[in-house]
Order: sequence, then C-alpha cells, then structure tokens
Amino acid sequence: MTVTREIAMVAAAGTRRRRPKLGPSFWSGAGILVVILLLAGWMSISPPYDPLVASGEPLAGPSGSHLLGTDNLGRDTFTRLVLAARTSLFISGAGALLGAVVGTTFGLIAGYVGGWVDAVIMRVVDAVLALPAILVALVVGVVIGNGPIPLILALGLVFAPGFARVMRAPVIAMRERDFVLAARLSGVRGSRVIVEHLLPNVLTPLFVQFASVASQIVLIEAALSYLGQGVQAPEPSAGRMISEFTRFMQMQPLLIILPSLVIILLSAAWNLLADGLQDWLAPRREPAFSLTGKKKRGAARADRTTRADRTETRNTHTEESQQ
Amino acid sequence: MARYILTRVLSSLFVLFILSVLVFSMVRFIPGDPLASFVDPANPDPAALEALRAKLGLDQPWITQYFVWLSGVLRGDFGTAITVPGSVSSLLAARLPISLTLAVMATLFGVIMGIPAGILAATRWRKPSDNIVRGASFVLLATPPFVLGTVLILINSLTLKLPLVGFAGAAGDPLRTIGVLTLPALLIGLVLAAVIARYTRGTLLDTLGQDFVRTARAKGASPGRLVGRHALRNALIPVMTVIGIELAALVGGTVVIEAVFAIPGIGSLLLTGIRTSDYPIIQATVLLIGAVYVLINFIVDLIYPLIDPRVRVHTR
Repeated sequence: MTVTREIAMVAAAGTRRRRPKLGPSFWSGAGILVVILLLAGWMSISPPYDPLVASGEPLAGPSGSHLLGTDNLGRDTFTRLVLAARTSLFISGAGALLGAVVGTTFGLIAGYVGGWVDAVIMRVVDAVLALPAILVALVVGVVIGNGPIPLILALGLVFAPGFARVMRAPVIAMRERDFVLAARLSGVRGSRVIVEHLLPNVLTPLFVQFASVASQIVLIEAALSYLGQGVQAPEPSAGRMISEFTRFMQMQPLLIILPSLVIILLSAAWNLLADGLQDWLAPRREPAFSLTGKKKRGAARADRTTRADRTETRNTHTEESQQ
Repeated sequence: MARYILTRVLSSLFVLFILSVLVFSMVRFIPGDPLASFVDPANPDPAALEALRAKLGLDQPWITQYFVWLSGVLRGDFGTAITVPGSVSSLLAARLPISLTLAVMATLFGVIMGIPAGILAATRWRKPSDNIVRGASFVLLATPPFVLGTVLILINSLTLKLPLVGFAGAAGDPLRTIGVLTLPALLIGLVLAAVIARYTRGTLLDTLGQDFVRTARAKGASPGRLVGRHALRNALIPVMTVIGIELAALVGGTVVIEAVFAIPGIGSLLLTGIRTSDYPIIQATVLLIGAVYVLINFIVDLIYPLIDPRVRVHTR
C-alpha cells in the first residue's frame, strides 16, 4: 500500500514540476541556423561555381544555371551569398563565444570577489560600454587589421563588458547563499567555487546573452564591411556587397535586396534563439485580465470556467493517485 | 540627495578618465605612420620629417604625450589635425551639432512611433494588433538602418527619383539641415521604435499583471484611465532609461547612416581619421562621443529619482 502510494506520488511529482518546453521561437531560430550551416557545408565541400571567378554573363538575372543571377563581374550570386552567410555566422558565433569567455570570467570574478577588484573591473566595463560598439570595433579593427580573425577579436572585446555585467548580478545574489558558503567553509578554492558552483547556475542567462550578442555582431559585421573596414575583397560579404553594388542597383536590384535579406535572416535567427531561451528561462505572466472592449467579459468568463475545469481535473487526479 | 549626486559625479569622472587612457593608448597601437603622407617617397627628407615630428610632439614618450594632450583637452584644445587643415576643435564644432541633431531627431521619431505601438501591443495582448507590432518590431530589430536606407534609395531611384542623398548647401542653415536629416533620422527612428515598442510592451504587461492594477479595476477605473493613469506611469520609468541610453549611443553610433546619406557628422569625421591614421582626430572624436554618452547617462541618473520616488528612498 505505502509502496504503491509512494510510486504514485513520485509519478505525480514527475509530471507536475516539469520545466516548460522550448518554444517555437527557439526551434525556428535554430532551424534557420542549421539550414544555413548545411548550405554552407555544401558550398564549402563542392560549390557549383568558384565564388571568386566569373562563371557567366555579368549582372544576369535568375536562371536555371545561376539560381539568383550573377554580379557585375559575372560571379554566381547564390554561391557568394551562402559563403557570405557562412563568414557572418562564423564571425558572430566565434565573436560572441570570445566575448562570453572573457566577459564571464571577469564578471564572475568581480561578483564573487567584490571589493576594489569589483570596483575596478566594473568601471572599466562602464568605460568600454560608454562607446558605441561599432566605434570600438572600428578603432580596434584598425589597430589589429581587417579580415575575419581580427574582426572576431575586436567584436569579442567589444561585447565582453556586456557579458561581465550580465554575469556579475546573479553571482552577487548567490554569493551569500548557503551552498556557496558551505563550499567555502569546507575549504574549496575560490576558482573552483566559481567554476563548479556558480557557473552552472548562471548558464541560462549566459546563453540568452550569447544569442543576442551574436545577433548584434551580425549587424555590426555587416556595417563594418559596408564601410570597407570589415571582411575584405574578394571574400564575399553581405555588407560589402551592398556598398559595392549600390552603383549597379538600377540595372540589377537583386544584388542589393538579396544581401539585405541574408543579413536580416541571420540576425533574426539569433534573435529568435535568444527570445526562445528567454521565454524558457522566465515565461511571461499573463496580465491580470484582458483590456479589450466588450468581448472581455465573455472571454474572462470562459477563461474562468476553463481554469475551474482544470482545477477540478487536477483534484480528481490527486484523489486517484491517493487511492 | 547631495551625496547621491556627488557619487554620480565622481563615478562619471572616473569613467571619463579610464576612457581617456583607453582612447589614447588604443590609438598608439595603430600601425602606420601618421606622417606617411608628408613624405615624398621618391625624395625622402628624414631631417624635415623629424622636425615635423618634434613640432607635433610625436617624438616625446607616450606618458608625456598623454598629459600634454589631456591638459589641452581640459582647456578645450584637441590639438591640430595631421592630415586635414585646421584644429580638431573647429572640425568638431562644425560636425557635432549635425550629429546631435540627427541623434535627437531619430530618438524623437523612435519615441513617437515606439511608445504608442508598445501600448497598443500590451493592451491587446495576443490579439492581431499585438502580433503585428511584435512581428514588425522583430523584423526591424534584425534590420540595420543602412540596409533600410539603401533599399529606400534603390526604390526611389527606380520610381520617384527624389534628391535624397547629400548635404550640399545645408550647412549653417538650420531649417535645411533638419530637412536633409529627416529621412536618415526616420530610418534610425524606425529601428529605435522597434526597441522601444518591445520594451514598452514588456514593462506594461508586467505592470498590468500587478495587484494594484487589479484593485484599480475592481474600483471601477475604465481601461483607458487604468492604462493612462495607473499602469503607464510605472511602466514608462524603465523605458526612459532605455531611451536615454539609446540617445547617448546614437551620437557617433550613426556612423554608417552618415556614410549612406553623405552627412558630414562626427561619425564620418572619425571614419576619415581612421582611414588616414590621424591620431588627434580619432582621439578627439572617440573621447567626445564617450563623454556625451557619460553626460547623457549622468542626466538620466539625476532625472531618475525625480520620476521614481522609490530610488530616493533607496539611496538614503
């Protein structure tokens, strides 16, 4: 009797306290990124055309042989766009990763150690955040050069302070919690407390920040390349395509519209990922009631009845499990 | 309150100091000799180059250069530009008003479009208008203004052929300046409105879920009064902070849109400086942009306790 009851309670507990599942935003964002990765993989292994060499009539429209047409030098636009998306995805992912590693390290140390270490780290963070990200990336890019790797370094440095700020707040809240105190009192070294006890508890906001930073990096990389300070020719880049093809826009508008869509799609995909993670972390409470016109009373009543139904069913469930 | 202001002032000054050190040292790492354009490659004259270097103070150790530069900056003297005629201060004086006007106009457009859209979405939660606002702001968030600008110029070039790009003749004429800046400001404002709408919707929804709103509703407040007088006041406080930060980030953050529309603002000055490795210009523009950001944030910090009484209680 008691055993069956316990089993029933465990089963009930298992079903009730489950975390909400990741929603459609997360999966659509992840889906777009995976599709781009697959296309990029295909283009990297066996591209239909050489992206750097003319393969047809210049400024041609879409056709069977060139799905999205060609540019002013007769290079295949589809191949170049996918490779541009690959570069952008690589830079955004790696840049956000670098920012996350550097920023999280400093944020965790600042939050955990406190005192003057915290004060110095956070004032430097304030100073870097006082500059628009694109300006810092511009200046840092000039110092260490152009191209994908320097861009990753520059953007990683630009976004590290944001990570530090996001990571520091929850650590301060957790610093005095019992499990941290217990670890410290039993002689665990500070670095180990940070890595093994604090870090796992801040992973979800870290992922949210990662995805939203990656989305911003897509936009900044596009802007830098547009200004001629990002990915250099002849490497394909969506931002530089827009600035290069401005001259040809009246002859072949697709050359402007397609790279624009690539930028929007990539940035939106990272944003969807961030939104999905955010919803999963902290689902939004419903407003206390609906505010819209006449329908609301009926809607509210319907809502109340369904909720009542739900409580009833839940009651029966508990009764059943107790029997 | 005096203590609150004093700590804010000291903290802002300290951030500015770190900023000046960062800016100064960052620029020194830029490869390439800023005096390269003064050398005739066919007929180099090392003695004259060294004389010029000494005249500009570039032969001094970095630490000396830093304090010479800093004391100049404190007197409002940003030094002499190397590759462009004239003092950096006069260049900044000509360009800062344009960038400030652009940033303020863009923020105004963003607020005018963003806050109503956010209220609309929050009060019609999960209804068609909410979904439209959310969808539009989602796409706009992923769209850089320069893409919007280029596509707009493209459509214009194919259809209406209005003169949109260029700043010729508008310098020194406030009305024409505002006219020329309207379109770029509108484009930045559109993207900004997406940010503001999302934020307004979020905070307003949170506020509408709170008990005091339910109480007000139970006492018979109409939905309009409920949102306008009870919820909105609370919901807009964090939105104000976001607007302040966005405005501050726009001064200089408009560098790309300035390039698209050929606007001679502070961003394009920085770009010129970067392309010619002109130290004084880069230092001055970056420091000035940072200082404007710190100043605007300082003002927002001061306004905060005025609109939110809870902050005052907290600092005591």
